[in-house]
Amino acid sequence: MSKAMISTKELSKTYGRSGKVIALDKLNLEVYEGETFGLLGPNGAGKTTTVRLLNCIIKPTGGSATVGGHDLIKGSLEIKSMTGLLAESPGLYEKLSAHEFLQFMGALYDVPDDVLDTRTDKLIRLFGLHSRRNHLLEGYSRGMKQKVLIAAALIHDPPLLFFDEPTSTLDPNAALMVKDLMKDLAENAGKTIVVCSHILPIIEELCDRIGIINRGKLVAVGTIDELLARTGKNTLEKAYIDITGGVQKKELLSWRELRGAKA
Amino acid sequence: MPRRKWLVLARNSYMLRTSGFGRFRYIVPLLIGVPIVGAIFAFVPWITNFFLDEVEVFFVSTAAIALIQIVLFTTFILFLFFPISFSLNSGQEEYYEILLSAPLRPKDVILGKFLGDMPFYSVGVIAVASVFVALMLPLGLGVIQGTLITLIFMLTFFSALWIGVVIAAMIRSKIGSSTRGKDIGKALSMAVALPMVGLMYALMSGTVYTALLDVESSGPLPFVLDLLPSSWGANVVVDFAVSPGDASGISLENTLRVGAMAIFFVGVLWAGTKFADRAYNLESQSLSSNLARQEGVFYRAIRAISGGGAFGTLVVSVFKDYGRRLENVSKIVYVIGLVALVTFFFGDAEDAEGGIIMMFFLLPFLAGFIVGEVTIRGKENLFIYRKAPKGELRLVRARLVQSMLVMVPLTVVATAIPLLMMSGASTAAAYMMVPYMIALSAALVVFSLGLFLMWPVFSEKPADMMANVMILTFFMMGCFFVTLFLGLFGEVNGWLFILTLTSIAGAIALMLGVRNLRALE
Repeated sequence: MSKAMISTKELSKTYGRSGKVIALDKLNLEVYEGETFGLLGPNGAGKTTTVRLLNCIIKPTGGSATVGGHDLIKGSLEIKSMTGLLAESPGLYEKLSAHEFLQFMGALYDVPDDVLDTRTDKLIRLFGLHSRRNHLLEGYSRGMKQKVLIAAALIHDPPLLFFDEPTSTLDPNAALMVKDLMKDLAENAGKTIVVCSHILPIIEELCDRIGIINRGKLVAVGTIDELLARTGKNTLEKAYIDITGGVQKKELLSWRELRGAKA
Repeated sequence: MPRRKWLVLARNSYMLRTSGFGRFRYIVPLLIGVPIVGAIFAFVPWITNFFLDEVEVFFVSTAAIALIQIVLFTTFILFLFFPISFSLNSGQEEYYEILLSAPLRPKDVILGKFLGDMPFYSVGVIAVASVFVALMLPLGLGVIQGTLITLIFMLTFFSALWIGVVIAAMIRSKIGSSTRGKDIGKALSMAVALPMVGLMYALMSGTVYTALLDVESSGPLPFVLDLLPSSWGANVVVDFAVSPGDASGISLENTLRVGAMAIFFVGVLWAGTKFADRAYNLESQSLSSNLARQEGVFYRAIRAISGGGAFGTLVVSVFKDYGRRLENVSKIVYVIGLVALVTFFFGDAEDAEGGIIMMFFLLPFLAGFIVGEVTIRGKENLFIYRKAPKGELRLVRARLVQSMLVMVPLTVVATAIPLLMMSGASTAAAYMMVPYMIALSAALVVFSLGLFLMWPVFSEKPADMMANVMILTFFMMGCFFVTLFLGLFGEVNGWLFILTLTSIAGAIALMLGVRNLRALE
């Protein structure tokens, strides 16, 4: 078995004075080198908190973790250098062009100038942004911004990549391209990838293993087959709903059961 | 029956403003207004009683109408420009996207916002009116007269406010359809304040007041002021003061004046809603986008000054993001314009030192406006740096270099203005102040950066930045008074004392700021 790229022990994050708001509750998880790992969970379950913790953007309030063999607290510099992150709600310098923004991100990660120029150009072409490379990002559509942000996560060619909802704002062609890119990065470039997404077909196709977080707790982890076997369901969607608890069908139109409601 | 949409929007606007007050939200204007008005009615008549004779003499003089005309005119202009400035600066695209998808007419939006804000503006207007009413109470002012004065103030200022709201909406719909236009709007939001400040300074320096007193030789100014609705009420207020009591003073002429004001208000309200439906466009998005120009000599120089390499790229990137926002240029123009206006209206040609002292209180504004940019794009933007190795330190270093590169040349310009405008500054000693001011502005940049990292401002509204800017200003005032107290004012030791104190405070603030930046979640 490959060695663990990410290893967490009772990793926790709470907010509030007495830790009343539990964002992540004693997470024990291992993600192996070269693996594509899917992190699923309802909105507000703790996926983004997990990603932020593993990228050393926020500090844990309990437990410990290593990323690439480096301790989350002591080795934060090394971890930041070896990870690439596409955040769920990322910041962007809107007054920079795509080219300038990628140059800026490359500089933040100390990519050598000659490598940076070529890589910036190639990534811009890969994402079909070449004709608008000198336009300011403020004029880009949401999908185009997402492409720039994915390129920014790749600019320093890190061995470990985190993609939080990578395809949610992309058109089908671009989504397919990003999906193929992630597949290629995992299979042919040996990257370890952690994907958070609600688009289950992508997770099904890309991920070797899946973890499901609900209310800050990791409630299930395993391959798709393992999860299906555990829940006795025949699709990932049904298994996911079984594990996290879905909305009962009879409740769906209950809001219309009011006097005077029209068809 | 369909609901009146402007009423729904007015309620929403009110709810937004009072969201922090919980179950007291419906009485917020009363909670704010009653103590203010109560205090005014408690203290002003008490103070007036001490100067009753002088107040009586004042109200029968020609100076009374001039002064009240000035007060009403200034407030009229303030209420006119405030919504323009505020609206141009706010970029609530999502808010407008919601409105765009709802079955609304433009007039519903404008009228709703205006009415929603009205309770809060009423507090301000009634407070201003109360000062005048309370001032005249010891003269024997009647209840009806007092009510009419309050009504005059309300009609005057709400007319101004509504005109301002309609103009602001139209400017927004004209220029808000492109990203460049939005930039221009934000830049204008500061720029429109400069003529206002110029007017205020002209009033404060007595130029306008003198002109109004000397009608014969003051040209068309009194005539122009008389035409404005803000002046119509001034005569009524003075007539009431001269003839206090319920029945007296309420002449046909005064009744007509108040009636004209009411008609004017209803007229602008009606015209505004009609005009808004035609000229105001809710659609604010367009597909236009701006091109980034090729890096020229300027940015190559910035890159070289910053040492080139990765750090040079960081500084240039931060500089580009700063410089391409017209509102930043506008803020700088505003402060430099302020220096010129203060020097022009209040400067003493023989007193160069006075001009330099004035700079002490304007440099914090300049530093605050330049450095305040560091956090206003939100936490997500800071997380870009947080994610990068040693990102926080890179951010601080890049911002320091960028801010210094903006601040130092501006300090030279801002210091040179009073020096060049005052003949008394032709001594070498006065010009030696330029390098001193550069050193002081550098210390203020460090201090300001520390403050904005300690207490980050995650909003683009200039008003939100003011807390940190005021800390800087009060610090400088403190330093100034300490040197005065120690008898070091004007001495080399005094100047060095201020510089040292600012540098130490700046270093401590920056250290604490970086610590806070690292802990920010």
